[in-house]
Amino acid sequence: MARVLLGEFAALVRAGLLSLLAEERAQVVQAADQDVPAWVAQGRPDVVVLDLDGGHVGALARYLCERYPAVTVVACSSSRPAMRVFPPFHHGESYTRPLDPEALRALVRG
Amino acid sequence: MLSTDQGVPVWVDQPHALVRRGMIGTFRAGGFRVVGESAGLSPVPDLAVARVLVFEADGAATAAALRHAASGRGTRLVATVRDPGAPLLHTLAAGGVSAILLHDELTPDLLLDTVRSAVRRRATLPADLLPRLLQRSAALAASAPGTLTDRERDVLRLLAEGHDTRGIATDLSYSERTVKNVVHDVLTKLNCRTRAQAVGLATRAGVI
Repeated sequence: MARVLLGEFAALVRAGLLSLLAEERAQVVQAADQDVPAWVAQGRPDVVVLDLDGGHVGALARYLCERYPAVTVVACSSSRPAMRVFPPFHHGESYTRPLDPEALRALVRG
Repeated sequence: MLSTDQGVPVWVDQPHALVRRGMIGTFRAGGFRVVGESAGLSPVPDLAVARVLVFEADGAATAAALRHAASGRGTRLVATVRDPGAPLLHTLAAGGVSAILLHDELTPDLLLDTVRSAVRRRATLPADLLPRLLQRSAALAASAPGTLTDRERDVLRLLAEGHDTRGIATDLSYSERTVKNVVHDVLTKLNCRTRAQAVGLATRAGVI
């Protein structure tokens, strides 16, 4: 069962994410963005999902990738159908792709 | 909680896959029946089965949704808007949309309350919409064909007769640059994109 840490999202995006993660039977913890580093340190999730539209998300994602290289970080935009993926063990390198629930599922499954 | 909305068929059109999924889950939890989903009105919503169409309003999708719903089925339209510019809001309000929801303020509860109101034929609009609509109406009134100057009407009349810029310049003893400037002013004043559109508008208004 994948452990997923969910940052802050607009309500309907969060509802969509929770529904998708429930289908994947993921173990989900929700946290305010400012608490994400502490939660990652404590729970070591497999995947962290953040809102790409949050201005601080790039820095937060890079911090997480540096400190916890085995964690997959995914930043989904709430306003555009786009997502940025920071794969594990890639030193904070990322790629942006169209937001696709199937791709998100694949990342959660590992 | 049971309500009279139990089983009301709703179609969800939303380009953002996660928002769409969130909306569908919200409607199902609220007792509605989701009969279809689409992104940018593709596939085309089946309004024969949907009593409410919740759609993302942008330029093209808005026009298509309004046209589609105007076919007389009585489907209630609920628009979600990311960029609430006055022209779009005016188009929606004038097009008979039952409710307009701003994405920035959208929550599951608000979505359900709004669609329930739409089913009961109550309109729901953002609180600050009225001043924006009035502003837009004032702008449109100021752009009415009746405000055209004699010179602008002369140029439009010659455009209607099929003259090009050079022909109009020759006829009216203007420079071509002046004619282009006049045409530009007319297009701005009438809020038109093309010369043909401006000619059509002015002709229908009887000013040329």
